Amino acid sequence: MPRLVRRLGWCAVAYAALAWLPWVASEYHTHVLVTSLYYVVLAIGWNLLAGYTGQFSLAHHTFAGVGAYTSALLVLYARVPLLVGIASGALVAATIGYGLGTLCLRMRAIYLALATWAFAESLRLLVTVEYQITRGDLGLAAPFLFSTPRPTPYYFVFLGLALAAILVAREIVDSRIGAYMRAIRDDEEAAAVMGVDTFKWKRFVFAVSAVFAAVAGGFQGHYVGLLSPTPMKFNEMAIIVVMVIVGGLRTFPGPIVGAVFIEVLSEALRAWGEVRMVLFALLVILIARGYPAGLVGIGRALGRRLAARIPALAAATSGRRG
Amino acid sequence: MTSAPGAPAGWLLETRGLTKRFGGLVAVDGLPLTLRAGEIRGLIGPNGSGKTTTVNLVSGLYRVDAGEIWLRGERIDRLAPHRITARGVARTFQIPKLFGNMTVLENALVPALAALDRGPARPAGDILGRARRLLELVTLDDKRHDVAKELSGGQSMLLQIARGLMVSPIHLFLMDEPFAGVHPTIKDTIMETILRMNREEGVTFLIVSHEMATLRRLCARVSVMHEGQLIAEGSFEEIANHTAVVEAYLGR
Repeated sequence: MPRLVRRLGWCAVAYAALAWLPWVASEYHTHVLVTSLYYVVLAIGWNLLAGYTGQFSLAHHTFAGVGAYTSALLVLYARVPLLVGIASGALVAATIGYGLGTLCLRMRAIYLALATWAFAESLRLLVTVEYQITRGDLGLAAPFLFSTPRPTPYYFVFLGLALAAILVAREIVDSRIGAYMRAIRDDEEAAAVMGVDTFKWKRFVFAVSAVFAAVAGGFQGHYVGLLSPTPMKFNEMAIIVVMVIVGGLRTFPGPIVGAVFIEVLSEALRAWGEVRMVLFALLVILIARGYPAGLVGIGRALGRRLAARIPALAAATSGRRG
Repeated sequence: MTSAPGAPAGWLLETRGLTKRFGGLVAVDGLPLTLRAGEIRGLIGPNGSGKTTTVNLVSGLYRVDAGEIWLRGERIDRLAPHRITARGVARTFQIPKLFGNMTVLENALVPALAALDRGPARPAGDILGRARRLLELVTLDDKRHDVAKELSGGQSMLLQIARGLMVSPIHLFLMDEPFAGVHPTIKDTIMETILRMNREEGVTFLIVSHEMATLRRLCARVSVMHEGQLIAEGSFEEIANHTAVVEAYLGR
């Protein structure tokens, strides 16, 4: 069976396995789940860019905003169908992402981070200042996708979205493009002289990750129903960085684990308010110092230790390897 | 058809008036370097004489300030590095530049995967087969699943060489100090690999090195650079008696 077919099968199984949750969870908990899944999509997209390709962009959250505002504005002013709005948002984000990638082609590390951050702030200010169109801080009322603010129907959409993001990212990472990305991350010069078109693939990943964010942002906008420039602030980017690093930068499941973990933790500690960010910062420092592969790395290490204790399990895993 | 520089019938590589400046310093100064297809050429000279800069210019990492570079009848000095690689030029770096978080085998596969992006499809089995053969040649096949950053300095050099030979097609291999600081056993492996790929696949080598004894066993001809210029070229005997070379190495 071809790999893609098998993976689609796994996605269907995962969907079925997780689809029952809204029936047992309260409306509030379902909302937390929807938000977690939204962040899963964002974090996976950013991990492709920062984790796999080494482009530490700080403008990822901006593309969620681009997706949300593009869609809402088109639906409100041009009366396009909602899904067309979201698709347009993705297209606009891809174009801007490609442009931002082009701007950053020759930038490394901290310079790229600074440039993307400046870009993110500019776009946020633009949305704030152009209030005649965007309504700025007053907020833009985006029509609901399901004519209700209740989270349950949106859960089914976001579950599908998260699984689609996982599938697409996995396919990219396992393809030769994934090899180009990792080569660029590890040594861009060596990648170029080994024949990798580094400019082309960096732009590609910028565009793809922007699409991930914009699609998630588009749907999120039509779920929350009110857009404001606040989620385009740096705080939001910081949350994505925290999620990916705590989950495990450069690991595939890292952003998934991290997004759900941090979002759930964040809700559990809601009473703490902004102090949570301090806690998350400490967590990031701890993980970066001791466990660079994050929760996923810790999990894998525990798994290996457990496997070593249980001979049968060890035999099974070593047999798979050979 | 005698005019095309670097044409297949004549020279593989030809630089004309190749010049690179860094601020006030002229690192490479009007260099005329010519390599015949199938030769193994040594490039020597005192520290700072422009050897590495020359390699960086030919592989496209530096932009040429003046002059031209021709490869197999085609001008390549305006091309991006990956396009030069696509025309059959591979290289190693003095301080090995590997893809540290990828395995040894994955490192070797990158050039072949990059070729798939621009050229016809090749069966995966062929690519993998060649990678395994080359890793075997440089004695790294047993380590193919190891992460590259765990290799020793000498092993990293060997992997750079195997990886470079995965460039396809491969016409010219530029090596920057491949013997510097490596164990004698590894030195032998490198020499053997060069000689074998030259003999079996007709790969042309340009080897920057300070190791005269090693170069003598590999190259019929050497080119000598000093302060960015080509001051001598010829067999070892010829250059050993060349006054300019002696002066450059011993000081005036």
